Amino acid sequence: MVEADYDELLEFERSHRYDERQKAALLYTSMIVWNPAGADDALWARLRAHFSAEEIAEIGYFISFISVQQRWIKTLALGHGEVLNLSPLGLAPETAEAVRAQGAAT
Amino acid sequence: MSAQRAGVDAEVLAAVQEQLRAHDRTWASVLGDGGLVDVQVKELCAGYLAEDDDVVMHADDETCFDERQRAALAWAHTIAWNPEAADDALFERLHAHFSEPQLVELGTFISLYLGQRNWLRTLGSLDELPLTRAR
Repeated sequence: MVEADYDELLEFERSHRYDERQKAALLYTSMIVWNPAGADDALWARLRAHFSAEEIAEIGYFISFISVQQRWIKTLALGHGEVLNLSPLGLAPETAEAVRAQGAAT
Repeated sequence: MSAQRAGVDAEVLAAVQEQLRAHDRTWASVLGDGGLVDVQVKELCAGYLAEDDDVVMHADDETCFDERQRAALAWAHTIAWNPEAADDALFERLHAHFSEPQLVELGTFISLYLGQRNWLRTLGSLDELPLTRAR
């Protein structure tokens, strides 16, 4: 993915930037984070069309792990790389570079 | 209400169970009664996050919960629903009753419990899902 791909994440269903597999994963993410009770048969059918059962479980686990952890970290007002400098994955290029530089200096 | 929607097949549920098993040891050794924070406080936060009326309606009632419990509930609320509201007053309350390592453990518990709960709720009614969970 390139950074511009993040621009339309909140409108992913209407966007042409994402394929059907990505859209199914994004819908799963949206349901877990904002509307668990809204998960319906259509969601599972879309997921099953693109992912194995093990992949669906792993993605769900990943989303559950990362989603609320972000809220916790936000209460601590921690910035990227301030505590752990594990990976720049998912960061904007300039932020990733800053984290790399910070890691190299410590 | 059916626990298992037609679209959530047994194969997915079995894979979810495997994911939960991989996490059982952490729940038991760190996030359950083997951790630094007494399990009663964690259970109380879990009740709040599960929107248990008995907890939510009295979260700030000093006749129901002591200051330590109310501080933990305030943090659970802030993490779950309003992270931007975390301020110095909240952390003063927390530091008055918990050590830094305890706060890390409690924050981990709150975030993992809520995240896991939200995920499993997409699969069906939590009370009826055929899953074994450490929590």
